[in-house]
Amino acid sequence: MSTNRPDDEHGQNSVLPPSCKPGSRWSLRCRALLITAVYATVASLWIYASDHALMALAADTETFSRWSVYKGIGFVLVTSLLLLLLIWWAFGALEKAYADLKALNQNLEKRVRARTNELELVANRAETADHLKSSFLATMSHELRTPLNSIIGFTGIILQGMAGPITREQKKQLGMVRSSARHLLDLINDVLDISKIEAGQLQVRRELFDLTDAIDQVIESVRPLAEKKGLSLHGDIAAELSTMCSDRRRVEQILLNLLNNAIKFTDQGSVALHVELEPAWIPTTAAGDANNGASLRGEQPVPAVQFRITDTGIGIRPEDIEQLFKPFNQVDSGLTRQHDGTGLGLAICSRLTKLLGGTIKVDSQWSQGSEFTVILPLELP
Amino acid sequence: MKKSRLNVLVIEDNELNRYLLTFLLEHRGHRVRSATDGPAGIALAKALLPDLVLLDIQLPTMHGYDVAATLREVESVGNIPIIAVTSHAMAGDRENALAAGCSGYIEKPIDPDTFVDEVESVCWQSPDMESS
Repeated sequence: MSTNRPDDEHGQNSVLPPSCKPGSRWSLRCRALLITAVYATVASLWIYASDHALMALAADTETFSRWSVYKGIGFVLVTSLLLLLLIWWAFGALEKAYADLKALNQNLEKRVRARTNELELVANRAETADHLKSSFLATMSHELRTPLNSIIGFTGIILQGMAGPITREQKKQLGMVRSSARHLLDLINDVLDISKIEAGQLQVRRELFDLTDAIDQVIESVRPLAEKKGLSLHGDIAAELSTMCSDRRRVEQILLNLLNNAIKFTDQGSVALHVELEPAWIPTTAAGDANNGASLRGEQPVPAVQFRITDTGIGIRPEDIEQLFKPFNQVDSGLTRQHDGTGLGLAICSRLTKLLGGTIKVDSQWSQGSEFTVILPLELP
Repeated sequence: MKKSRLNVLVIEDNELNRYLLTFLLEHRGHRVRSATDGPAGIALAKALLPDLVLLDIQLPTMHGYDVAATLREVESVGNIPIIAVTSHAMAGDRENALAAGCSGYIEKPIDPDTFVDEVESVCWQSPDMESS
């Protein structure tokens, strides 16, 4: 009956064969009870009443006993017939239930197979898309850097006077070409970095490195920028910190990005980087950062490094803080002309921090300054 | 003993980059020969036995890693230091270059102020150069 049932999706009812439904099982039992009760009553009455009737009809005991044998045989025949009917009917119901189950099973198998094929198809498609994405990134990376390689290379050669003497004005203008080319390279690198992170192509390396050395390098590389704007730049590291086991290049990238930002958005005052040890840090979601950490919840406390980047710059409006770590979201479009950048720096910082198992958050007072806090486990898990 | 004047083989398909590398190296007094693809580079390496090979990774016809691996298998040129100069910069590229037999890895765009220093330091650190 149910072999050709349409492939319905209406929940549990369609999964059970009709004879297995609670309702029909109860009626089965009721019917069995009814039949037994009727049989018991009829048989008892028969035995009781038939002997009386026979006694009244039979003239002598011989006839009586002969008739009661016939009566007994007749009773057995009738009850056998009844039993046969009952068994026939019960086995029929069982057979039907079995056939239903079998059909359902086949149907289920068919559905499972179809679903598996569908899933495989989706997975294959996703894999192909992923492959295309990463090969596209690799190609773009190559294609964009190749001409820049020539621009930066030849500008450098001419600026160094390797190709002959140049005038002061030529040197000044070529310097502008070079800094524009380097800016373009930064933009390309940022776009590629965020694409690589989004495509799951960026892997972090685990290495033991001198944290003090890394901090010194980061501070020294942004110092010219701070001095140019007349800002005081200060970096300090807690005495108990020496080495860190993480991806040095990425840690430096996060700090450079945050320090560059701090300098970019500060016109007077100071920018500072404080590095401290957090002996028992519990990796949890930091307030104000929606991108971080659900997967890290409920972990054991681990030693961590806290980097605090403070500035006395323009600060961030409370309503803008939420948007801060999203890509292409330089706060206040009016500032975009004044402070060049991709608007990708903080999005990259946030994602790199997450990749390194840490958290990033920001506290800021509009027109007072900002404080970015990055916490990274001392040892990359 | 350090050899101050190196014979360098540049394998690079982009004409401008080839010129750039050649100019920088020659400016410091090194001798440069160049090839535009893998098979030509391998043939030239066997013929010239250079002190150093600068190898672009994204080459036409033959991938840079394969060029490096092929050079490593040839006895006469197997010990020549190879520096990969690549704009690839994807995850694991450095590891792949080193696994293919490169002795060093320089990312493009190159910095003309430091490029030759980097090349020389890789070359002079290589054990093969000590004996030559």
